[in-house]
Amino acid sequence: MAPSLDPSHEGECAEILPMQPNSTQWLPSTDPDTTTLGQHLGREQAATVIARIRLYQKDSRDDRPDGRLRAFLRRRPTSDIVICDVGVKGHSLAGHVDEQSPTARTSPETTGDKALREALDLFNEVRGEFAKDMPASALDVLYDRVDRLQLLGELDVIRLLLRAAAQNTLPLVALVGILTITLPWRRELGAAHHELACRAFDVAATERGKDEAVRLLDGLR
Amino acid sequence: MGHPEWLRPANEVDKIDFPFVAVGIAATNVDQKQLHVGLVHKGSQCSAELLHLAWHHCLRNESVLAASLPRIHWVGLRLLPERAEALAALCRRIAKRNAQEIAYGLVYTGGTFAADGTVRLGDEEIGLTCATFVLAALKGGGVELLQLETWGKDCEDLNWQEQIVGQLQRYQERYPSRISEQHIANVKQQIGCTRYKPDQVTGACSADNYPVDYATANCLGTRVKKALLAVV
Repeated sequence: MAPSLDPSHEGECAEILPMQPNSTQWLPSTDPDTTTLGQHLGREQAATVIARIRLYQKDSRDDRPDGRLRAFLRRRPTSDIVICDVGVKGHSLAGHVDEQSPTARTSPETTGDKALREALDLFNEVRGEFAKDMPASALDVLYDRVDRLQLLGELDVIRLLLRAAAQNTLPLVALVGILTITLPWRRELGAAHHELACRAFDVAATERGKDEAVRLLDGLR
Repeated sequence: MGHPEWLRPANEVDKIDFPFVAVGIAATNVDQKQLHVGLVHKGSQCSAELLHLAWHHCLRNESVLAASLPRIHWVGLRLLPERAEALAALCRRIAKRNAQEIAYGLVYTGGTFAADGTVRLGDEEIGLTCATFVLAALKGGGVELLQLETWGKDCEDLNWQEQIVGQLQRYQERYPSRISEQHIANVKQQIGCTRYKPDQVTGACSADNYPVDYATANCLGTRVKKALLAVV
């Protein structure tokens, strides 16, 4: 179900904007244009809002998320995280919200933002490893990093990693690998693990058909 | 019934150039018909290795072609390459984290491995056998190989379990610092529990669907055992 949008934009079509596989500009975390914004959205809703964000960007001929956009996103119900790829120059927004306070956060100093940045750094590292076409090495790196996060009790970061993986373009071997590595915490990771499993199933079903997808993900969902 | 076509000799791992995971089996004592199992794993750009619980606090990960076990054979798990890649990574993880960590124990109720490669023993478990080590590792990767609830107790297994306790006692006498008397006493209390045999675990891999029930695994396992002992 689409969220209630600014009436002036009703009827616009929406689509998820996939990442370019070799893009290095997915999250310019040191870029002053990067801002965190909170919203509560399912995947379908996210698709719509991402498109709207882009619409705003295009309308304003400006990559900077301006006050109008922030105000728009602040009106969204909040409690979840969605990671968006927006902007005509490849800039991105990473939206998050502190569950304790249903207010969109824009300060980069919040705990949530730190976790988000760590997750996105890890995601970019993992994607870079898989881009080298050495999946065994990439999985070993991922195991090391997830180990450390688990030792530190940072399951939030792992959740964000799963969501980033689910909402972007990764090869099937990476999706299956991440699902396998995080399988012992499937319950703790909850919806994030489920979201990635759904994404992996969609990708596998598209590439190999539903029967193979079921077989591939048996025991991981 | 001859040599099953799905039971492959060790040197055939060289012919496989994609990620795969298999159960490897060897006859370590022909007179006593003692078999030993482990996991053969091969990730992309990796060589095939055999990960096996050799004994109490002794996990080994060695090249299949240069392994210390005689005449290794293997049965490939029916996994798609992406899944095998992830499972092979878990095997490497377990090897890295557990060289001297995993105790020997007879009872198996569903223990597994966490993502960090450390063992998570189930209820009543105090360790693993070579066969239950394989089950636990596979479970850690989301593969339930056997329908444990369909297994029954076999009086033939009592002899084997008593032999194991005897071997642990002799090991303790020789290397008192490596295993405690208390642990041996605990293992002794487990005599009479359900046993999951190496040949059953190996044979189950060749089944069309997992998890495999006792009747199917035992039938396939018998073929493995006969073929292996005949080879030796």
